[in-house]
Amino acid sequence: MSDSRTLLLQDVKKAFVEPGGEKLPVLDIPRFEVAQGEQVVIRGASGCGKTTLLHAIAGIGRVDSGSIRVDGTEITRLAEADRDRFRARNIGYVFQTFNLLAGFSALENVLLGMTFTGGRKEPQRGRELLDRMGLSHRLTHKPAALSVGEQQRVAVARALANRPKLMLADEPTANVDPGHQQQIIDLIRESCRAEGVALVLVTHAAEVASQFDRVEELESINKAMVTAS
Amino acid sequence: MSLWKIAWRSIQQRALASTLTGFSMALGVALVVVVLVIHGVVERHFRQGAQGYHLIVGAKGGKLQLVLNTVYHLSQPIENIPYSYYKEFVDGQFASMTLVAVPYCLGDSYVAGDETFRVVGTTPDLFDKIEYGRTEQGEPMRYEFEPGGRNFVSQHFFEGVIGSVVTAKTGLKVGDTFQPSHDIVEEGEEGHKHDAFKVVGVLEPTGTPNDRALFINIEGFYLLEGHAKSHAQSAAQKTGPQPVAQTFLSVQAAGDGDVSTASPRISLASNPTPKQALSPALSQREREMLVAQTFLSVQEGGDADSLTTPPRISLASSPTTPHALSPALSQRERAMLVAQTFLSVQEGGDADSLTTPPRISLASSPTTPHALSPALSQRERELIAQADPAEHAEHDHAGHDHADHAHAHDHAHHEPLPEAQREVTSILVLASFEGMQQFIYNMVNEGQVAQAVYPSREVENLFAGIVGPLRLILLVLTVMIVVVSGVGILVSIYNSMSERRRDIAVMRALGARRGMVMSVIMMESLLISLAGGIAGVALGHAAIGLVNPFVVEQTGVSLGFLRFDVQELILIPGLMILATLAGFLPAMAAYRTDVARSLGGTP
Repeated sequence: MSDSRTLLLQDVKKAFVEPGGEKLPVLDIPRFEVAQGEQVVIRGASGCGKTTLLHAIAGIGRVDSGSIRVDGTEITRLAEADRDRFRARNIGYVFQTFNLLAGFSALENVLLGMTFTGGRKEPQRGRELLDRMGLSHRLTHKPAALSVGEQQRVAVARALANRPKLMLADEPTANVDPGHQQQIIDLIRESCRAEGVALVLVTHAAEVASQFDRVEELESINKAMVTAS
Repeated sequence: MSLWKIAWRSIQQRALASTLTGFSMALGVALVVVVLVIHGVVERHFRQGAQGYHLIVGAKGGKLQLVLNTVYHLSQPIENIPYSYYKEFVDGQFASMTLVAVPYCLGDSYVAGDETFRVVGTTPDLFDKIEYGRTEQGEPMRYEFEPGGRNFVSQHFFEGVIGSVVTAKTGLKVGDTFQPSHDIVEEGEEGHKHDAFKVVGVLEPTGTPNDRALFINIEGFYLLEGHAKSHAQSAAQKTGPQPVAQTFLSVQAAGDGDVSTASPRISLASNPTPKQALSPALSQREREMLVAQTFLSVQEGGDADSLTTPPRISLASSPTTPHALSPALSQRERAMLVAQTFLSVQEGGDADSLTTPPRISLASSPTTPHALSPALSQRERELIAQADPAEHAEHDHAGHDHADHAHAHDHAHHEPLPEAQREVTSILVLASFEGMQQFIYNMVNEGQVAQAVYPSREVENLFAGIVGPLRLILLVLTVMIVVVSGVGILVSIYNSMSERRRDIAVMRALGARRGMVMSVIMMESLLISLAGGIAGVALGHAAIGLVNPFVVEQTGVSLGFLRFDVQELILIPGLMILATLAGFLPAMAAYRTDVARSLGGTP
């Protein structure tokens, strides 16, 4: 796999079927690519298909047509179970709402990410990551006992647990208080850089987007929104 | 982190619901365990109860009732058979096939407080020659006496030994005396009390029903007021003159010379209640006929050599009113009978064979003091059992309360009740060697006097017919409780699915495959079920352990805290299947979780 691109989307199309049977296109991306270790921000208003795009890249949701290659693997051709396994090993995902599991401690939430890879398990790495996030003293705390900022840092550590090739971050600062937003962005960017992970970060916040070298407007890569509106 | 741990974490997260569903499972399993263990113990106990001998011989009638009475000291009292039939096992036609024959005389009980224990008149052989079970290694378990005690001795008529439960419940100990009550009385009811017996031994616990019984010397039992009478009475009522004659005729016909070594005995009983009712009980002619027939048959069947012991005749009369007495047997009847007997003996036997003189006993047993003196004439008393006249006088005046002079019974003063007046309720028979019991069984059951039963077979039938289905019903009920608990687990997990949909979606987003999240839910169900199951087994055995002292006290059966039933092993796969079924529905919900929609966030 000599492909230097970590992510390549070609002619990706997806439409939701309305209850009336009418098709509502949400994704129509002729081409979108992210190089190895590259950090890209995608800007767009709410409800224009940002999360759907990230789900498609992660292999969580299927697309109707087109090609999605992650680190050289055509994930649209993988069976669901293989896609899940591929996702576990190659893609880190940071959610807007953090999505930590309430019953698990900070460390366990990080280790949870390693559970589904079907192979490598590095408990020590979980501690290292949390240490790097400045949470070495919060390992055994449940999410409810952590501040919002701390929760998101655990989520970042969890996304990095399996040394992914690609990190997807969906509005990672939307629910974080303004004082901690920059800290989260910095952590994500530094961590990805340190680990050589490509980053696709979706946000509608201009102050976040302005920090990135490469900023894409969702409307410009997703034709569906243009035609729809 | 393993999937098991993930499952365990979500159980912890819903601690209350998990605990409650697990607890309901534990209760259900505990009930199953209790049913299994108790049934197992009861079954073992019942099977063990009838060990050490092959057959029980008793009056024809209900087989199970005979076994319940003889082995388990349960059920309504049963009829008796002639003592002579017992003698057939000692020195008669069955003697060569019999290793041990132990007579049982039932019908008395001992009341202490609100507890009633049965009293068994028997011989010391019961404890000396019969084992009560086998250990798991096959070693025979023999009756033992607690330190300071011993078996009763045949020569000491008013001795007895008692079971361990009796000691525990009544406080009776070696050296104490107790008075059996006539008839098996209902709880709390005061029966007619007999003479006192001295406890000479307390049995070590055997785990058999004998722990709950008192055993007295059969010789003392026969001398108890009312026993000779009541037995004779019942014989007269039951059989009448004709059947008695037939019986002996048939014995003669069946047995060859050797078999008739035991002399035939005849008991004639009359039981008049009003004055007029007396003579019809046995008419003059019937008596004459009967005696004549009997002796004729003896003469015909047995040769002279076989008549080693002379025939005995007993005539018992039991008047209830003074006036009814003398008609019971007229002077002339008695004289005739005696004369006939001697005549027939003289004719049949040669001089050598008459080693012992014939005896005739006439027993009467009036129930009121005033009825006494007419009941027995001076001559009759002499004729009868050479009983101590002084003692009889004492009885006459003391009425029913013998407690005061319980110790007045000097064993040396007692003469055994003549055999003709005796009856036994049942006979425990240990065949001389394996296989022989079937011959005894056939012979006894072909005869008209008694029946022989295999106690083990009756217990088997009891279990197959009654206890087994009952157990099945209980098991079905308790298993249904377990199933309901399983449904509870299903409902609990299923209800939690809506709030856990996001967690499942997150796991899926982190790379968990559908099968994995499904497994996690299944494991959750399994963990709750198995934890509940283990707790239930512990709970069940703890409950058994808790009630054990009470059960031992009541029944003499030790349930044993750690006595596991093999069938409990079925619980493990059973619970796993149930848990899998219970977990399947919520697991399918987890399987079908729409990840994109459940993750939250905007599309």
